[in-house]
Amino acid sequence: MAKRPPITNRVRELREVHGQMSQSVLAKEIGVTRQTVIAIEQGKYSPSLESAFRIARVFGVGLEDVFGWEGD
Amino acid sequence: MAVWEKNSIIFGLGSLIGGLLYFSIVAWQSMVTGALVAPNFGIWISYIVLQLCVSFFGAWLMTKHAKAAGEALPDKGEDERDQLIRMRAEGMQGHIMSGLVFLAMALWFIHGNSAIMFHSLVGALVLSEIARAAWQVFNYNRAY
Amino acid sequence: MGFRELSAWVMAILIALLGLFYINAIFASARALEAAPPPNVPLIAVTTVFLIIGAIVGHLVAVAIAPQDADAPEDERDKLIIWRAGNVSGWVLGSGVFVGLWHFIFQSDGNVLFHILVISLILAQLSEYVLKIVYYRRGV
Repeated sequence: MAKRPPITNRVRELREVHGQMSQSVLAKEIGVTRQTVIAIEQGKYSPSLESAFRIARVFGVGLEDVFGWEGD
Repeated sequence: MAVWEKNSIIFGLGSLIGGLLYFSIVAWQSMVTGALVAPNFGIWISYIVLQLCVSFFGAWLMTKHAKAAGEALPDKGEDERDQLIRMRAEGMQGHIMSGLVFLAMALWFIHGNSAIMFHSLVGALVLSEIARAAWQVFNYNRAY
Repeated sequence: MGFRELSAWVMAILIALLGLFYINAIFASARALEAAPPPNVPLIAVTTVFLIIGAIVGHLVAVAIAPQDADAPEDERDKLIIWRAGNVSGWVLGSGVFVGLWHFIFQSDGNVLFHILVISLILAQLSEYVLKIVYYRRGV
């Protein structure tokens, strides 16, 4: 099994809070595919810094409100 | 210049120097005999040994110089940027090598001389390695 | 499953099946001749044609299953997966070429070298597509 990145995220929760935004809509907003959004939510992929900032901007929150660090 | 960037230049140079030696000997022996020289162990091992010696000596020299200059050496190996750049370069190396391998096979079909195929394949190894080094250096110097 | 992952599945299955078919045919010839057979151009041509037809049909099916992604450009994750898989594939091919060259130095058999190269190309492509599937499934 690939090592999971030591980063948590609240992307799914924030999508639901923001009018049940679909993964497709979020994907289009930040310029990635829906599968990449799925992979981010499942913790299988760490987005680039640019994409992380774009996600935070879509939800109108800070980066640390979306992503958390669980590594050492 | 990043340590791994210097490293890729050194290995590219090793390939270039080894390749130049190999093809110089092949060209010289072919001119003497009047026909393309068949691959032999002597020329082949000379190329490999020279390439490895130049590459590893160069890497050793670079590390020694970096320590003397007080430069921080990456004790944990490549970081994420180094890995990304190396992967892209090695992927491209694979594509170039595929194309040159097809060319080598085509040359064999056309000329029916397996020596041509062999020497073309050595050329493919040399050229793809040089291209990898060049692409790595290029990527180290552009925005990501 | 996105289009690019479907595409990787299509190509992996095709290359595995056609690669096995090709290698089996070569080994059968070798057993009959009791020596490495010369390159079989008709066999290579037939295998290539089947690969192309299979790829076209497979990708049409993939587009039908995942039409939204088919036209979308590669995003950062797709690129990372392509680079990672391509990196390993390059190593597989390079190793095969190296092994072939060493073999030729000692055996001087151009036919064997040719077949080693073909098998290396098949394995390199197969490894690339299999790795893409693994990275898409398990994460990168």
